[in-house]
Amino acid sequence: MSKKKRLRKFFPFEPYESLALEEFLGEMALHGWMIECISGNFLTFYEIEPVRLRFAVDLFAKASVFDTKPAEETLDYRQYCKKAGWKFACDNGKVQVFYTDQEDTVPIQTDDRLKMKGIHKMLLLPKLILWIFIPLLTINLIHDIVVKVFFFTITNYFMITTVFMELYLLWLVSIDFIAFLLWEISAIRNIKNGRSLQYLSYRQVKRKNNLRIGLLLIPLILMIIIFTSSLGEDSEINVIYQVVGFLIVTCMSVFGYRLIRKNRYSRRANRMMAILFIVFATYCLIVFTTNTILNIYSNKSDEVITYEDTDGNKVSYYMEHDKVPLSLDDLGYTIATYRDSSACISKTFLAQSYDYGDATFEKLDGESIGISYTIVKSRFSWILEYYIKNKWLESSNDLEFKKMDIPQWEAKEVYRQTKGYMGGERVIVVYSDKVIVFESDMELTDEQIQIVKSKLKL
Amino acid sequence: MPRAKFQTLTEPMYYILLSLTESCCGVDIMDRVSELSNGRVSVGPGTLYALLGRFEKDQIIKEIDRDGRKRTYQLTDEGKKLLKEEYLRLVTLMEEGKEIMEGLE
Repeated sequence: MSKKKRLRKFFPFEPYESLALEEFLGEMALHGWMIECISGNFLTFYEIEPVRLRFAVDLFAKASVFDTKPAEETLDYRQYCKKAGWKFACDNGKVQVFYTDQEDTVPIQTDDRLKMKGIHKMLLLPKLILWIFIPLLTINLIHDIVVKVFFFTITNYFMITTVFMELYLLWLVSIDFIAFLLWEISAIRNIKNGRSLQYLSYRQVKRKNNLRIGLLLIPLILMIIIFTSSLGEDSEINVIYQVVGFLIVTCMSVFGYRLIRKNRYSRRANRMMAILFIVFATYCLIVFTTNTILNIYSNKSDEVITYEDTDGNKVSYYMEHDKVPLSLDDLGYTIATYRDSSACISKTFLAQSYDYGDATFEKLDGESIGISYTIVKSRFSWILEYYIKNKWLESSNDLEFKKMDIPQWEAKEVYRQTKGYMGGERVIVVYSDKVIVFESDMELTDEQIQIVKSKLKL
Repeated sequence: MPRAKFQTLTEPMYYILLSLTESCCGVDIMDRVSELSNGRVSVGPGTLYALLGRFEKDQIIKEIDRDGRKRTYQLTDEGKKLLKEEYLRLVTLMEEGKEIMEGLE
């Protein structure tokens, strides 16, 4: 027995786009492919002799995607369709697909008002949730990561990708909402004027789907950039972590979907399983994403070295301090019993951030002396200006800065913090292509400023 | 109150109820409607199924027999009343318009 040739096609459609699916299935039959089943947005066809068929895609409200086998009502309904000359092809939840080779078979739905009511019943509640909650959550998240942690975002490909993913989600929801709104307005107008409902054609839906998928390329390309640019770097682990997390969630979703579609359990059990899968997958997604962000944040303490020096004292390094371009030794300070040095570099094509710190102290719980500095570079001057204003000068953290005239820095502008910083000093030194935020537990002397400038190549 | 819900019956509704003045199997109603309207009105199976469900819920029709998947329905007294009211409404419309319409010819 020869095995049937099969073909899979991706074709997302909405309940009010049934005409498009009917046209598509008709075209496929004409090319020798008959619909076998629908799984989510994928249609599976098997090879047949090319034939002209009429398809009807109807929504049957009492059917459910969680049905183990067709409910009695569904079978009754199909019986009516059969009597009218429609042969059952396949179903996917409420979507029921029929076909006929007769030209004069009465359409399955002959009352537009009733059909519209059915579409509303099936669509409105889940769509309203989607149209309200997703934009609210997404706009909130985008606001948070663009405004509150702007600089962290633009120096991390992971964060940039997250923003694009969120924007993409917003784009999908907007297309969905606008398409439905346009259809609804035209449907109400047609019914009012006694005309029949107009549905989007196959070509129109195809164009809409291209719009949906087209923009997905941006986050995908970014993800590829992240992956290739992070290979061999500290952040590689973040990407791998994220990719593994994404794969696990995807596999779980496919496994859960298949388990439900195997029709082994009751409608109730299937519904419970679906809820559990959704909750668990969401939990995993949140955990993986949070851990990735935490990993990015905690790069500074990746490496911890502890040893005893010649006097029997314990020395801890959080990072090899030779990675720090300017250390306490350079400024003439003697390193005490303990030392804590850190370096964290994050860069994208938009901006680069170099965070360094070096501190030393006699006792673990005693007073320390230290410096920390952030060098921010960008070829875009607006990014530097936004960084200075958003993060420091106009931040809501009750910080106050005063513009100073310190010619030793040879900079465009120098600001010194006058309020909100305990001990020592914090200065922001602005150059044309970079900004240095320098914090120290002591006031820098002119000589030390020269050392800083020479070490940091300012 | 069925009358309140079905203020005026649509053509398919009217013919479905006409078909059920005698007991009739659900799937046969489509043919009956076509016969009664001389092929002018046709009811799709999806529409018929949905309307039968609504009529049964509002006690305008009732299921009087079930043989496997075959269900036979008939009008209830409430349904008969509703159909009669609709018929009289249509007759009134026709009579009120008759004089004017004949004058137009």
